[in-house]
Amino acid sequence: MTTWAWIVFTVFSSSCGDVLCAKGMSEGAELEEFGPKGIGHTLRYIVTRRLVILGWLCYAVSFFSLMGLFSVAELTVAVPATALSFVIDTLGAFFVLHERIPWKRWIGVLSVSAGVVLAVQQPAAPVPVVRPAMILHAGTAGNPIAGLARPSRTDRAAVQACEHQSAHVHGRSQNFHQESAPCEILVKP
Amino acid sequence: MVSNSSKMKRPSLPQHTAKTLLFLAIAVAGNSFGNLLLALGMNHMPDFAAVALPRYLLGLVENAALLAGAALTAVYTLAQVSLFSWADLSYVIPCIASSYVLSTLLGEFVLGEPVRLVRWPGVALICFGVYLVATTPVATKIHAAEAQSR
Repeated sequence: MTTWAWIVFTVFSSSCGDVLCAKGMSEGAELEEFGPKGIGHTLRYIVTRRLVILGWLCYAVSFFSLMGLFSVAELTVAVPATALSFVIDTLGAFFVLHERIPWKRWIGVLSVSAGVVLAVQQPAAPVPVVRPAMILHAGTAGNPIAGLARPSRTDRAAVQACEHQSAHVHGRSQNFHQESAPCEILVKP
Repeated sequence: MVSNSSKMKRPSLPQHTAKTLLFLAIAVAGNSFGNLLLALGMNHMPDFAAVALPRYLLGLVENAALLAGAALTAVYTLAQVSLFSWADLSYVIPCIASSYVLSTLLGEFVLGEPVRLVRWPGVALICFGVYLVATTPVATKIHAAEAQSR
């Protein structure tokens, strides 16, 4: 799967979970007691509400999808990308949960979304590794190494041209592989 | 959390704000550090499409960083679901966006992932959006339990 397919799947499953859980939890009273008894009440409530259970199933799908996303994208790309669910969550809160959303909250959500668009900018595509190849004709038949050890004047000029081209590539690309030899020299007897 | 419990009533505004802030902080920290551990764990996992599913699942449960990340993610989810019992979904979710800022910082300074310059204005916009949402009321509708008590 591509990175964007993982992102879309993660975002939609997460938003479905949020809306279902919010719907289920808002039908009960809020947590006031913070001790073990209160946490026990919370857990008991969560595992007995059908909507909340459905929401948790969506979270589970979203969780495994997020791990799939991590396997194909960096943290600094994968995590901000999932923030796209804010827009879908807010729409769900407005149309499904019938929340009254102040204009400041709308602007806030749009600002977060714009921030996400900037924050998920992919790095520039790396320049393909260029390994200029050249063919040197060996000076001595049956001894290809001799062609490298003692190249003719034409061969030396070709090697210099190859090194110049490689250095030019080094200067332009930050992602160029650091090769020990700038040129790949093939020797034909 | 049950609706007929006499111990559960709507608290006064200062307590309400403090409780909301506490649960938001737990959710943000749990989400950010959970994601960090998940990313660290996934670095040692093979590509999803490269191995058979049973072998992949076995690799997931044998990975300590992934298990710790999953535990923190569970804490984050519990805190978030608890917030839903008194706060709006459209308030809680954008406020938890702070975790995306924290995750970016963790990715840059802990994982050493290069963060391009263009991403930092994005992080600033997320912060601004979170600030705007945080200044709105925590709840804009009457919850079911409160409506029953009236």
